[in-house]
Amino acid sequence: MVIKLPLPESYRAYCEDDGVRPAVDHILESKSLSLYAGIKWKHLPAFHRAVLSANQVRCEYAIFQIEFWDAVWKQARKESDLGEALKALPVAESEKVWDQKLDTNTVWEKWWFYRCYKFTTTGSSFYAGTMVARKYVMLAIGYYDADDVQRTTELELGDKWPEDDIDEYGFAYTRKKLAPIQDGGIDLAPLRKAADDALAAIKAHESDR
Amino acid sequence: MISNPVMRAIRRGAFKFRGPVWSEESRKALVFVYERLSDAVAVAIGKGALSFSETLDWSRGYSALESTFELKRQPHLFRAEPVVWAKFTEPQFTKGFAYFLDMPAVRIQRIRALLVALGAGWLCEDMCDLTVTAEAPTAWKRRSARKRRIDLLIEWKDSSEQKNRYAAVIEAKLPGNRITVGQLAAYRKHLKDRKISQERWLLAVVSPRRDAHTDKMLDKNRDWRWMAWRDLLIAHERALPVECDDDAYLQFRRTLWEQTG
Repeated sequence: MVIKLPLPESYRAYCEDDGVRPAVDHILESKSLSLYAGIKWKHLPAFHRAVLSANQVRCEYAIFQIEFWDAVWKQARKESDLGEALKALPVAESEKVWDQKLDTNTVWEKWWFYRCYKFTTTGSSFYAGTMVARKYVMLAIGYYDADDVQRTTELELGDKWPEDDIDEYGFAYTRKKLAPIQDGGIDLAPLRKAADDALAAIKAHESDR
Repeated sequence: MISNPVMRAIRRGAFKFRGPVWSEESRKALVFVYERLSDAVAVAIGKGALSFSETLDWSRGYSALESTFELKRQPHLFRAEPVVWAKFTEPQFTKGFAYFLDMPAVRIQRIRALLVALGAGWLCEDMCDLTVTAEAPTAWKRRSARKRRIDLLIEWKDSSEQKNRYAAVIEAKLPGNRITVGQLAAYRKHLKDRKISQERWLLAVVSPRRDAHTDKMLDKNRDWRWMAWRDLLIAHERALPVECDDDAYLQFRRTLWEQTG
């Protein structure tokens, strides 16, 4: 079954229209954007609105990342029954442990959004992330024990999480081809399955301890 | 015990507090405020006093981008593929520019578009005997064995009996390159030596952005104008008739756009 999450219209135009993308990037990258030469009074409102639109793309992208994260990981967590012992870390603490800020611009530039959880019983923690690039999306999971030693490699994550995609920091990633962006949206079904598998693997590992 | 008409009215339920209803304009302004989020704004957002009740209309935003960047133009440099396999040097770009400007069938239109983009449309109403030279040598550099070279020199005459001479000097800088001391004055002198009068010349520095050094150099050379590469390219897009464009020139401009950001 296909469960489709549509991209915001603004970000979809950014992804699909080769004219919009450099325009938005130019505005967002400019520290002091000057009016173009020969601009007429009647074009000034459009100029300001163009600046607004570029910011709209960036802000709606950042908001969409949260919606996407909720649609995949929040849903998976609800169904995983990981119990009361699992606590979500506050935003500031999450930023510190993952070492990536979650402000609008950082999410826009790095493409990643994530949240961190901790088991109050064992002290182990996991980080669940989503990445939205122009053509595809990915999920990431990192699992660590109380001493901050990565245990991701010990998880039975299933076929949606290739073992050779585990990086030096202990993060596993889903395959690029698992969820391409098509017709302005993301098919959530394979991603939800991947998230379910990951949380089930963590649950199994926790109960073995 | 507080007892005044306002408090009595509140107790009676005559006043009901509602969060502010944001107008379309205020909501848009908030997007800008977001960039410089102050504590006060953060608190207001936390309390729910500031919230977005509806999304921005993208169609208006799109048409603003379209008009600001001339996206309706077909073709457009943004839709051309840049050269990604090489990083070009300043002389390579200026020679490339000279090559594309100097195409016999479209020479006048392309040069006029460039001068209009540089804000010197008044100079190019009547153009004859056009020449475009990249790396044009000037007088010998003092205490040096090499000549100074003007990045891009465009010269022409008008059709009057006097055959008045005109010139545009474009000093093109890429990221990391600076205007050297004496350079701008030397180019001005070169035009004077060629008997071109001041009201018939354009002196322009084009670089990715202005820095303190550029400000200092331009302060000493007030008759030089400055423009950012990307602003020039968009203005040129606006000024160049599509029938005078071609794929190779578009790719060249797109590459220039990518490498002068």
